Amino acid sequence: MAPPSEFDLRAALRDGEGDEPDVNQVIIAGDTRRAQRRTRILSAAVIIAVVGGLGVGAAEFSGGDGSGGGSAGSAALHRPAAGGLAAPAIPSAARDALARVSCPSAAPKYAAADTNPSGNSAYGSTRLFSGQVSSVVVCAYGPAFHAANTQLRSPARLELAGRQAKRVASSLENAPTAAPTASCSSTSIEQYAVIPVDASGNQGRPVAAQLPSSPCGALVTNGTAVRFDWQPPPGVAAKLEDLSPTEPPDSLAASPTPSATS
Amino acid sequence: VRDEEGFRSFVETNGATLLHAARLLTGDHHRGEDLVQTALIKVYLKWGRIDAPLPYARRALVNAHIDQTRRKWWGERPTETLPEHAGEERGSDVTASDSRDELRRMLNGLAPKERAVIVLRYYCDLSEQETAATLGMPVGTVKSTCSRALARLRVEATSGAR
Repeated sequence: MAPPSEFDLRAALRDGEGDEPDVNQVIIAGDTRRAQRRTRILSAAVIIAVVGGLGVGAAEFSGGDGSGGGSAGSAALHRPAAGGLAAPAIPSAARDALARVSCPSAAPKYAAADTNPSGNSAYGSTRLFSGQVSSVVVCAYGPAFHAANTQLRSPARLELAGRQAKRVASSLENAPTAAPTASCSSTSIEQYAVIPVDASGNQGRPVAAQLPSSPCGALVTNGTAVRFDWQPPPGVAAKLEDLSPTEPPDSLAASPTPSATS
Repeated sequence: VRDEEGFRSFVETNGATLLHAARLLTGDHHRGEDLVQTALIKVYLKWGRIDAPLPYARRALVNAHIDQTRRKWWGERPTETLPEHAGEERGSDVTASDSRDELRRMLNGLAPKERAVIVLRYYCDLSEQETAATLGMPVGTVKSTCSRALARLRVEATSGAR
């Protein structure tokens, strides 16, 4: 075969042309593909919406009253480990502010006169917290009337930030200002100190709380204001019950205490 | 599609050329039909948003063809007909009408890009610049590719004549 000329090449390439593609088939196939594409996009949008909704729901659930428990609840409610590391969900600024707050070695004691209001409004007009509360540290000292033991026990610590901290502060502030008329008898009274921290990281005056095992008889005071029958918000109450002061090391516990020797 | 009639008119006007170009590119009647349908579906989905449908269709055709040849090693490989080997029938008499078939058979022996350049230049009658724009390559590359492809065709034809 002789080397092809350009004319031969063009003629060879044009040989056999004539029929057309089926345009209806193209349109049907195109419409099908478009529908599939829309379905895929819609499915992706639905998946994104569902996943986003679940995420928002989970965040809302954990950031709400904390009753979700588990790891979600620890986002806003945190009890630091021995190293004092805060939960990553607490904002770093709040974490730093909380880290600077140390629990008093013993539960705060305020004058008895201050915690004995004569009327309904004398102490109710005074606020427990002087400013805005953005986070709180709750220190647990265990049962009262065991002062000798509590001196040797490190208070347990609970850090609350965000909405939970505000709910605790609000529930304390809005607790009844009048002493209960009925007498409450309780075998055990747990002692707590609630230390408020504002948005700037400034620590407020600790509030002492005595929570009996019975539903009534709770007493909360900062020395100038008094509240009675405080009910911790749902979720926080369970956490408070779980708090227990750290037992002293064996060597310290075994050594004679001053009261024991005297 | 807002202008389905426009698309139908476009296919009626250019469909035959595109289908034949697809057959030349693939070297197979049915694969050419599949290729032109793939390209025309892309045009249909973009119809109303493209200014120049014919260059777009040509580009879609060539790109789809090159994509198919790239995927060949893991994609679908039709085995209904065995591949033809160039030179198998060279001993037989080559009539004047058979020389066209022989040329097209030799065209199948070219690399996909070389074949695309030949088809665009000598079947679609595109200039070197238009061919370069369609293939997305420099004009110089089109020139060299075309020259190399023509040389191979000449060599094949000459060796087949011996």
